[in-house]
Amino acid sequence: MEKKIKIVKSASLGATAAAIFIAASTVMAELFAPFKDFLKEKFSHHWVGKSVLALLIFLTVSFLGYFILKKSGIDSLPRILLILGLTAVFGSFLILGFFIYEYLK
Amino acid sequence: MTPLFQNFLLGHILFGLLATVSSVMVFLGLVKNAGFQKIRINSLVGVLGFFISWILGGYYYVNFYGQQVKPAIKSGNYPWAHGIFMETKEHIFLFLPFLSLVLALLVWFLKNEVNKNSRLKKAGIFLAFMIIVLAVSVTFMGMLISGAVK
Repeated sequence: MEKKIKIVKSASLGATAAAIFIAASTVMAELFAPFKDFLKEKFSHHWVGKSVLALLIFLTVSFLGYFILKKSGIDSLPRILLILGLTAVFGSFLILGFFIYEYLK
Repeated sequence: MTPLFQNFLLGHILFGLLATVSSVMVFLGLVKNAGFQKIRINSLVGVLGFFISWILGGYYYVNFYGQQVKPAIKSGNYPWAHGIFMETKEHIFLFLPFLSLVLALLVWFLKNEVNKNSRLKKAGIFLAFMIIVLAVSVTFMGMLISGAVK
């Protein structure tokens, strides 16, 4: 049971890290051309680069989280899931708001 | 558009819709205390659907949309369809495979705990609801973009 709780917790942390990266890299790529160029150069397309890096971040954080997480109790898991959901929602609003701003300016 | 791109475009829509409907079934299953077998299967379909849609849509986007569709939209009557909605959609979508994977892990590994722990169940319901909201938003944006091409 302990292992299963740690798997879900670490995957949640990995997904949260990936979501933060997706939102941040989306804005950064539009504001900072060298970053977008880097993604294009390494991955042939900036969106492919964001996809691949998001996946790598998810896997890395999940993997590390599994071994670093000491407390395997279930009490903190609802909060972690809530943070994940809210991160995705706020990230979505950030992305939408940013592109509306960019289009209108 | 070649048949390959047509199929990839259609495929990404169909698998995305399948994943969205499956996520709705997970949400309803958790809310109504349905049998976990159905919830688990739907969660798995959700994950697979979003991952397949990611690959098919990504291939279409990188190899066809950028070169053929984007210029047409930007020079047409609705340039905001790309400037705002496609740009938003292509990035918001990236949240979905990860969210759905976490939801699937939750219902597969911690089924008994979700049943017994009301806080955990509510968190699972919230996560499923967020997936649905994002997936439906992405779907509507896709419809807007398609309309802008015509």
